[in-house]
Amino acid sequence: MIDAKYIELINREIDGVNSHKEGAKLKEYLAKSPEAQKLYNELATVSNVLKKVTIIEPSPNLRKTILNSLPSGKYTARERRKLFMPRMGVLFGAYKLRYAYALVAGIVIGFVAYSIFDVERSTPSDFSTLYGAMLSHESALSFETAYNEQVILDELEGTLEIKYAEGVVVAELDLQSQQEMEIVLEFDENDLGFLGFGQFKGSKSSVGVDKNNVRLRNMGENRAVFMFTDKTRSISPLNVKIFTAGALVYEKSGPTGRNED
Amino acid sequence: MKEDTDIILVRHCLNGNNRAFESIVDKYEKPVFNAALRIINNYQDAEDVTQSAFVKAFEKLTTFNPRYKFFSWLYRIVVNESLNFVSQRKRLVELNTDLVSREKTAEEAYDDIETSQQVQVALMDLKVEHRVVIVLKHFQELSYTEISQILDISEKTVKSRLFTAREQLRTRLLKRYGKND
Repeated sequence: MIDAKYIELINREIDGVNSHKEGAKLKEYLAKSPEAQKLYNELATVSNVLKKVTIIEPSPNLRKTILNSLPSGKYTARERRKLFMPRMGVLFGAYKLRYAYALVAGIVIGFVAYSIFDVERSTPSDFSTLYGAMLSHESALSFETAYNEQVILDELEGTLEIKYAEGVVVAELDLQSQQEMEIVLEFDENDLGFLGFGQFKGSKSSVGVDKNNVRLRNMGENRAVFMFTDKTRSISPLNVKIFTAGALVYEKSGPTGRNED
Repeated sequence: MKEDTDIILVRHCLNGNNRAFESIVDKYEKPVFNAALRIINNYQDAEDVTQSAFVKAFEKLTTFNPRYKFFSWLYRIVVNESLNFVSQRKRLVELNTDLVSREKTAEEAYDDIETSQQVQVALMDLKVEHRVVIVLKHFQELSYTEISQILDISEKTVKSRLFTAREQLRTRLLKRYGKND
């Protein structure tokens, strides 16, 4: 039976926190007690095995997800109040009065500049930029199909269609799945800009948008339309990926236009 | 010094410099995630907990007392978030080994994966309070004092849980790895 105080010394030795004196005392005891030596050896083995456990990388998007989740604005609400709404007694102090004058001056300059430089806004001749908020299936634009595919898999089935018109790209998915699926559309943000999303069928979805991808998570019947501005008219591909139960089951890179030749 | 840097970053953040909090995230994202992962044993859930821990840290930054170490305060948040998650989600999901680092040779990677799997299985057999001290001591390499501050328990309790957890891991792991490694 190993004395409890030596069990502690053994564990502290594993942790490297024994003093020189404690280490020497333990060493002397281990030399006399095979049982204690066995315990020390085995705990050292456990420690070494734990050291072999690999550090796992979080997904590359986690950092962005964290930063995007932070409360909007540079400060917490308390800090915002503290910095921009000083107490009344301080406001009239000479030290703070300078800032009040600067604030008023800035507002006046802003009004003057706006009245001088206000640009007459022209009514756009096309309404493609309104698609993000006012999705209508009857389009003022003439869409052509760049890509159309029937998707038939064990996990899901339906259709994927990519259409284009003047300055606009639309990806329309009509899919059915018995399990939750995640649809990811990846694009080059220099060529395409995400405008908006419309859902015609299906239960409520969660939608996530990043600089160069948009994600929809849903289950069951799903008819959804994703709209993009075509910035460069360069037929930049739109990559469509579909995941079910975390596994990629479908991937296609569809064109966003048609080659002239 | 590490601690002074963290406190400087916190002060900058409280003065409105959000880039300072980005630096904090960059510095602690991986260790926080790995701590959550080893407690929760699910990659996606660990990411979710990591996210909520950093958000909570950001929201409560004004409550941080600079007399203490920032990472101890941050770890307390992530451990609490992880424990709350575990208490709500009773099911165990296998760690996705596809996501283990692949920077080594195929044989080394396989060995690492196998070791990590064996360890994770053994860890999940422990009571969660024992698992947490193993994670904080062996994976985060924190001292007894730091762990006691994070978990708000005495150092004596930290050692008691740690030594008990090691004893239990000894039984499980030595079947695979033998008595001397």
